[in-house]
This record gives sequence, structure tokens and C-alpha cells, in this order.
Amino acid sequence: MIYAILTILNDKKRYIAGILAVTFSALLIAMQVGLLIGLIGVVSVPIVNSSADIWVTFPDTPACDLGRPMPSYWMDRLWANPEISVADQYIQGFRYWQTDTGKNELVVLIGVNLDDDSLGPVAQLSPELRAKLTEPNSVVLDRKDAKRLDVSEAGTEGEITGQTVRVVGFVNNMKGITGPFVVASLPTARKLLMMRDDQATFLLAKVKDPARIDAVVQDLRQHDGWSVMTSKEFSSKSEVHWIGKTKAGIALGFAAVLGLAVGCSITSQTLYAAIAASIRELAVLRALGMPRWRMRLFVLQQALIVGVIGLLIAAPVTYGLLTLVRSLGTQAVMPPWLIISVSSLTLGMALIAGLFSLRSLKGVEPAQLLR
Amino acid sequence: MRGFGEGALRSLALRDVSIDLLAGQTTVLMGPSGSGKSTLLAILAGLLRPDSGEVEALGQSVVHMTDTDREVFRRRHCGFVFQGYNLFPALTAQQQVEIVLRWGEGVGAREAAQRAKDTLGLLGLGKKMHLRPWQLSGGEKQRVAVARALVKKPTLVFADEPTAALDWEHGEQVVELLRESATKENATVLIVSHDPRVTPLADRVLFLADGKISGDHSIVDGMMENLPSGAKEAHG
Ligand SMILES: Nc1ncnc2c1ncn2[C@@H]1O[C@H](COP(=O)(O)OP(=O)(O)OP(=O)(O)O)[C@@H](O)[C@H]1O
Ligand SMILES: [Mg+2]
Repeated sequence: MIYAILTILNDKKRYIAGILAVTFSALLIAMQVGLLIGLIGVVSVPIVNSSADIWVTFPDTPACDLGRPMPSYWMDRLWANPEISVADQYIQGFRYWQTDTGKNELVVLIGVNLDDDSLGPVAQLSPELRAKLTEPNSVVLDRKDAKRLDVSEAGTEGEITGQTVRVVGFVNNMKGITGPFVVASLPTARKLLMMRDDQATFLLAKVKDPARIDAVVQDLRQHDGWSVMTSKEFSSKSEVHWIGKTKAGIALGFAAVLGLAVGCSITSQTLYAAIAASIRELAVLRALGMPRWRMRLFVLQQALIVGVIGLLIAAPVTYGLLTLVRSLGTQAVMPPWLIISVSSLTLGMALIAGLFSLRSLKGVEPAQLLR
Repeated sequence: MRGFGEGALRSLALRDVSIDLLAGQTTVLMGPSGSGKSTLLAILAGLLRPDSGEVEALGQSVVHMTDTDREVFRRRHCGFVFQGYNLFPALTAQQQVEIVLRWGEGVGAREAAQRAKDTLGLLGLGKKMHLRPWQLSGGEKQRVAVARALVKKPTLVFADEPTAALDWEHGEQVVELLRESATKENATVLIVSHDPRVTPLADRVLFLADGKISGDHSIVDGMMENLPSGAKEAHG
């Protein structure tokens, strides 16, 4: 390994193209996936913002924004479980919001329990806002999304399903992706979504002992007519559904493959040229009887080192870019599994590039080169 | 016999060459450019297969070995010095020599370093061990190349124009070093050269012209005489 390291350090200029190709591929894939997941993650904002451990849905609901009405009195089933400390209900559905300026915007209307023991996504709602929401047809918007509805201050009115609604305040960090979130009380939401009083979109539960959540989920699954998931399961299910639905996964996979292919060919060209440059030295070693596999190992070691250095450069650049993107208000995430998979993917790419460049060793023929 | 090319363009680089090389002797192979010296050396050393003929060394037939066996044979027994220095730009003198032991015989780092240092020390490079090729003079570089050839104490030493890039003082030094491995280690040394100043340093001089041996002289007190003998053979 030491010879490979010295070789690269001695001729950094020659190897820099390959190193930067690795950096580029890693950066491209990490940022794309990070941005996509961040973006898609918005669909599970209500789940993340709620304090429920367990989500109960209409059977086989694929995502958090695709829930269908189910009997709210099934909350009794939840209350009946001795390990559950709180049961609650939650409503979500799409509606059009008509502004008096003539706009027609799709919004995600959510209805939450406003009591102190609410499990709904109400963490951002101040007691004051909750009090205001108890008034019929009053709603709260995300501050950034409010502009999309031409709402700039509390007191502005809009129209949903032919009924006038009044904005009574704003929250932060509830920016929607399909449409702005519109938060209302359960009765208001039912009325606007034309749901019956004994219906809700989701039932929520909090478990006394967090270690028992999975067990309680198993218990609840014995009932018919609903699907039961931990909040983690439901949020990742929602995200995976939207990644597939939007075909973003395909676009992403394509871009990643392209990035890897370009990176691979540049890296293998670099290695090829580097080996070709020391072909006479290698030919002497070949004459001295050094086995071919040693030379192959030498090339693959160089590939590995190029990969590692490329990743070491990619790390701070990715971090910087991530910070920049976030400061611009875009959601982007970089979970450990993403870092690990991007690293192994690009290292694998560098090694494959090394395999491709092995053909440069074909020319290592002492009888031809050293006459 | 060894030819190159196909059909009408085919030319014979060597024909009907038959020589015996003796252990403990330094043989110099001379001849005009294109006479087939390098080709003969490559065949004798197991780097190239003759079209027909036989090479026997240390009781083994080099021609009929598989490629892998020939590789093992060269690894165990052969040392090479070529015209250029052919040193890795990134490695120190010590590492150039060490690498042969580490890659070839899987010798451990410490032992390889020690043996490389010993060999370089014997060649008067004790103080230059940590320098890279660009910090070494031409003569020093060629001595490093000689150290690389001799570090595994080969029984067969081949040198193709080892002095061509050097002034005579340094060239003479290099030939002396190769010669020492014949006298001290009882190796069979073959040096290809077209410099007549090399001949007095040899035990024997062979002349090659147009692919054939045209003269065979033993050297006594720096003067040429006529006589052959045998430990390594080539017919073709
Ligand atoms: N691979 C090859 N293909 C075609 N012809 C070749 C090849 N190798 C050698 N020859 C020919 O064989 C002949 C002998 O070549 P060789 O290299 O052995 O000469 P040499 O005596 O070493 O010459 P020099 O002193 O210039 O090094 C030359 O005519 C050369 O053109
Ligand atoms: Mg030659």
C-alpha cells in the first residue's frame, strides 16, 4: 500500500482528475438524494409534528395525505388497551381555497384536537392560537405558505367549499409541498371536508412505556377494519410512496448512474494514464519475476486511495453546500445511512474504474519495452 | 531461431546460435546494432520464446516451461539491468530495491529494508538510500538499478547496455559491480554492450553479427584468446 500512496502523493497533478471525479460523483448523489428526501419529507410533516406513537388509518392507506374517513368511535378500542395512555383523532384532506383576489389553490386542510392532551400536530400552536381556533371557521396558516393564498395578516378571509374561513394566526415550519397546510379545529375541519361527526381520518395513540410501542401495535392489528403503524413506519411509508409516485426515484437513479458512469470513466482514464507512465519500471519488475497479481493489486490500491481522497474532499464540500441550501430555506437531509451508502457506492465506483484500467498492464512486456 | 513478422515481411533476428555460458564468469555479448543481441538476451533469460531451439539453465528447460513457471524461474534466479534506469519516480533508492523482495518473495517490511540497505551499502550508496531518482546522478541511478537486480542474489545476471547512458568512469563502475556478483556469488553474468572498453573487464567476449555468433574469445589479462565452455546453453 505504501508504494501506491507514495506514487499518488508524488504525482498529485496526474491523479487530481480522478480524485475530483470521485468527489463530483459523491457530491452529486449525496446532494440529490438529500434534497429529494428533504423535499419528500414534507409529506410527513404532520406525523413528525405530532406526539403520537401510533397511527391508525383506513386499511392500507399509502401516505399521510391520502387518508380516508374511518369511524372515530373506534377510539374506544384504543382506550380499551391498558398500555395506551392517550387516544386522539386527527383529520386531514384536500380542499380548494378561493381567495377574494380570484385565486384557486389546493390546500391540505387538517383538523386537530385543541385540548391540552392533544396528540395532533399542534406543537407550534400557542394557547392563544388554540383558543382562537375554537371559534367556528377559523384557521391558522404557515407564515411562508400564507403568501401563496394572498394572505398577509391575521383577519384575512378566504373561501373553502363555499364557506368563508378566517385566518386567525400563523405558525412556522409547516410549509406544505402539495399545497399549504391549513390548520383548524376538528369540528371546523369536519364541516369543511363534509365529514360526519363520527368520522376521522386518523386515530392516534400514545403508549405509556415507549419500549412497548411495537407490542401494542401488534395487539391493535388484531382488530379488523384498520391499519396500525408506529409513527416512524407511517412517515417512511408516506415518503416512500411519494418517491415512487412522483417517479423522482427514477430520475434520481438515472442521475446517479450517470454521475457514477462519468466518474468511473474519468477515474479509470486517470489510472490508465498513470500506469502507462510507469510501464517501463513495471516491466523491469516483471522481468525480475514479480507476479502479475501484484501489479494488479498496485493498480487497485491506487484506485482505492483515489476513491478515499475523493471522498475526503467531498465531505466538507457536501457539508458546506448542505448548509448553504438549508440557509436558502430548502429542506435537505444527510442521514448516516445516506453518507454510508454514498461512500460505499463511490468507493465501489473507484474500484471498478481500477478494474477497467487494469488493461494498461497488458503492455508490461519486458521483451518489447526494454531492448 | 527467432523471427519477427509474418509472411514475406518475416525476418530472422537469430539463427543457428549455440552458446554455453559458465557460472562464475562474466560474458560480454557484442555486435552491431540490430544484430540480435537484445533478442538473444531475452531468449536466454526466459523473457521471449524462440521459434525453435532449446535453452537450458540450471538443469531446466526454459523454453518448455509454462509462463507461470518461467515467471517463478526468473523470480528465483534472474537479475536484470536495462539501458534506461527505469526507476519509479515516487520511490526512494531503498524502496526501489525493497519492492523486489516484498512483491517477489513476500519478505516482511523490516527484513526487506535491511537487505535493501545492505545491498545499496555494498554498491556505495549508503548515504543516498532516502533519495528519489530526481535527486540522484545518472551513475547513482544505474547503481540503484544494479542493486535492484542483485538484491535477491540471482544466479543468472543479465544486463542489456547497462553503460549506454553513462560516462565511461561510471559505466566501468557498473560493469565491475556486475562482475563482482560473478566472482563473489558464482553467478553467470551476461552483459550486452557495443562499447569495446567493456571487453577487458570480461572473462569472455561473444560477437554477434546478423543473428549469428561470429566470434568467441576468452579474455586473459585483458587480452582476447579463443576458447568456449558450459553451464547454460542455447541452440536455435
Ligand atoms: N518485436 C519485433 N518485431 C519485429 N522485429 C523485431 C522485433 N524485435 C526485434 N526485431 C528485429 O530483430 C533484430 C534484432 O533486434 P535486437 O533488438 O535484438 O537488436 P540489438 O542487437 O539489440 O540492437 P541494438 O544494439 O540496436 O540494441 C532487429 O533487426 C529488429 O528490427
Ligand atoms: Mg538492444
